[in-house]
Amino acid sequence: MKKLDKHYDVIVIGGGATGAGTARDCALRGLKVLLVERFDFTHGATGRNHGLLHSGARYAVTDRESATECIEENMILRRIAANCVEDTGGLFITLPEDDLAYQQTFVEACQAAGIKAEAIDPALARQMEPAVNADIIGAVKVPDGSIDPFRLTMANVYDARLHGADILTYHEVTDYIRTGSRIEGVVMRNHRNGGEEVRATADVVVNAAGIWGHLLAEKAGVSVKMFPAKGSLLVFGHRVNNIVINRCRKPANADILVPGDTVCVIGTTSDRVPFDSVDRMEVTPEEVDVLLREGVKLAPGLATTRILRAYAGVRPLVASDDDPSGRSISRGIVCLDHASRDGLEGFITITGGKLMTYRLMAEWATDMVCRKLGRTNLKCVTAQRPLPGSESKKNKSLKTAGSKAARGRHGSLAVNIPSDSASDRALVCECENVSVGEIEYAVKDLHVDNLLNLRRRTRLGMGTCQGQLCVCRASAILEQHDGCTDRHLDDIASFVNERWKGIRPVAWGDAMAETQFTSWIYGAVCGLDNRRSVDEMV
Amino acid sequence: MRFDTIIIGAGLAGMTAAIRLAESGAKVAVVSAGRSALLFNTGSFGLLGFDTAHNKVNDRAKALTELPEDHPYSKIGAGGIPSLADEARALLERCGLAFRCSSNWNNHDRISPLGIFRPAWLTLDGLICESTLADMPYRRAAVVGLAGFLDFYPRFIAASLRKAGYECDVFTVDTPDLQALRASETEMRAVNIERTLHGYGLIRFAEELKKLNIPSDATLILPSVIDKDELEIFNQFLRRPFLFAPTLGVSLPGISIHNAMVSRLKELGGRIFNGHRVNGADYEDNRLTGVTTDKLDDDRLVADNYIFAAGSFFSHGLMAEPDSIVEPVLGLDVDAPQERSAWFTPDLFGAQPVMKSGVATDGDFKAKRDGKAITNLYAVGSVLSGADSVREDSGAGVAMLTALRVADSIIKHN
Repeated sequence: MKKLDKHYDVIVIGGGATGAGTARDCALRGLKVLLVERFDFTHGATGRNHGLLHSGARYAVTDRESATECIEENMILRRIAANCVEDTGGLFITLPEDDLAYQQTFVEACQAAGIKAEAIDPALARQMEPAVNADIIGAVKVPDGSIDPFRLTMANVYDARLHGADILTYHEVTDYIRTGSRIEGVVMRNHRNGGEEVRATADVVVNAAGIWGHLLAEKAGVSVKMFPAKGSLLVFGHRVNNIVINRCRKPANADILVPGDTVCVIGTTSDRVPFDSVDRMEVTPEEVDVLLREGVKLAPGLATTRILRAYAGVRPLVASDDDPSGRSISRGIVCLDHASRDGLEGFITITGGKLMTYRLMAEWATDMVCRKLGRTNLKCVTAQRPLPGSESKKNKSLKTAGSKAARGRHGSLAVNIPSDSASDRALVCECENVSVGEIEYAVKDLHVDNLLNLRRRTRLGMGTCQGQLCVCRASAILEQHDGCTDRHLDDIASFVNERWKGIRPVAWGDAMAETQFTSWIYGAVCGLDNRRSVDEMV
Repeated sequence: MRFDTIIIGAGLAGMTAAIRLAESGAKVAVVSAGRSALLFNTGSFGLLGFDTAHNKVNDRAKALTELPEDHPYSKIGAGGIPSLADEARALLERCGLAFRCSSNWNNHDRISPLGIFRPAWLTLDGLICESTLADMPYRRAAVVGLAGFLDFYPRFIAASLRKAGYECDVFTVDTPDLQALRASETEMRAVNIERTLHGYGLIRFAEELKKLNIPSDATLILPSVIDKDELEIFNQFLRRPFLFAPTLGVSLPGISIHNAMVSRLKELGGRIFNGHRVNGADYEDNRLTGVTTDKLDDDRLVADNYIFAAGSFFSHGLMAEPDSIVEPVLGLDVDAPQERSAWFTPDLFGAQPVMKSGVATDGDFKAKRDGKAITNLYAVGSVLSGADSVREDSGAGVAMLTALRVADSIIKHN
């Protein structure tokens, strides 16, 4: 058993956008913070969503409050997270099978929520976005965009650390330290150190663990009724569209197509799933079929575009306290002080909400932390202060493909990437232009010691080839840092299998050819078929 | 254009059949669309590395008898395998390729690009395997990487050799010739390095190796980036024992095997239609009467016999549609699991039922179409159904042995 020798003001549980945002907010206000994540950052819903910078238009008709929150945060994120946001704009299209009258209701609701929505001539929409279904009978322009949740989360983590936060990944909270009706800290299992037990104490513990927050609350002896809602998505091999395309109708399956980075993503489905399945989401053939069928209606070009992979995330939807049946589930933010609600001191749950409102969720949670600490004089600055990497853009001229790609990914922080020698500039991943230097930087500054960490920080292995030769190259670089050859061989096998999980539901055509190549190269040629596959879920 | 036999596919299976037939005096043509798995071969061939339960094969004769009935080896018959294996090795030797083969009935251990010991049937001379290493005078090795070359893994190889009881250190070598290559972010690949380490470039490389002060009782382990025709010069300048270890990606040993087979076929008068994709086939009374390609405008390719060796999914000999597996070139019958949900299992390295898919044939490897065997069309190599050649590590063996079996029966019938 190890006890951290520091007492914290606050311990934040959960390395998604909300947890990282809360840790940053707390750190910026001068609190002593520990951020704890059971596996890797962005492991949960943060790393498994659409990457959509909602304008809020989608909720305007059905959920005014969420719509307003969305558009306000949309405008803030464009300022503070410029490097994570792409201003693609968005369209809400009406197809011949849809009710054109809905468009009027929709535009009015948007305007009432403060969202600039403008009905335009379908011909103009076709001109703006040539990939859109040519049969559209209506189109509305909205300020949608795309956002990279991996970069966004890491920028928050990075800034939290810059402001003194301590950060532990691969530490899973297994219990709490408590005295009477007060939570005074957490007991963790270090997955990286043979399961060593680690303890840390704090005045307040914030549960920001997404859907897993349900179980963490239960463990603390309080009940937050969450409903796991699975959403499945498909990633296509290139950008079919450059503007976000939505269906102008009541929210339904597969009605948003988002361009992001080198790919585009269609989603989502929405289905209640049992709690015991949330660690192992698999996309079913039926979900693939519905996503494709509906997606092609938005952009017919999808029918002939290669599908790279399928993935699914779990939204933490929350039933309001006065409705335990869960019928009136909201997508709004839920911030609970378990002292006033349940008589449990020192414990807060922040949940509900969505990626778009992560900053506001963090602000609410941090405000509550400050109230509990009696330090309400500390004010939130996250709506104004840019995230690291998103400060004003001035940079040395970028010559190589690797440095341009790295600038795109790391923004103004890209200056920290070694690029002086030819060896640093050599490309490891040729689909996403990841250089040796970028990997070295990620190891040094972005909490990376395995391939999955590296993929989430750099997009290595996320391109067309889904991690073929780049995987061994990257692993050899990681191995040089610790000399744990066996662990890295297991890591390669695990990573290739993790990619397989997403390819399997869509493995036909070229994907089948590459699957055979991958299993041949890594299994038969390299001999990794008998390695122990390390599963982050176990 | 008329030939005795037309072979579709220029991978290991197609080239083996073509060379064997040409050696018998037949007029052969090979049509190649150009994506052979051989280019990624690291210089070792498997005949049967793992049994049906994925245990390493120690007794090959026994493991062969345990294969399912529809396996290509079972169609040949376990008893026929040893002589065909000898024939295969002799054919490669006639191509100028010498291989290490520890004994006919057992596999030897090769060393993979990541340093892992794997069972193999044949390993190209000069490449590291358990026995070539054991033959060296010393129990000490020095694995030498090239500065900035990311497809060779000296530290992984060294770790594995240490486990096997060798004293082993890792070194990095650089030469001025590689600096130019490194200036581009994507040029440090095995094939480009091989072109750089030629002539004086190779001599300079040997000189740089000497400067590393590697203990004189260590066997050097180098990446396979040196052309075999240059080895004599290299030896003269280096003057110490060395072995090559495989690199990842397009691989020099694989290319040299391919090139040697192509040269042999050309010497024998065989014709190769490179970059041609077969795009039409005419059938008459259960016989294939001719094929067309995308590059021959009005001309048909006509032969007495045809051998289909287009490879598996990787080489586009098989195609997966969202709900079925098809053979896209000649429209042949395919043995495959019906539903997509039955194609795969969650562990990529586990048994994937779809990987046993392939062209349906009768006991003599005559391909079937609409349920009937085409009397003059044979299928060979990884396009055949019944073998999971990746998991069994049987790809090279199935390719060569089925090709030889079919070539022999064509020769006998004439």
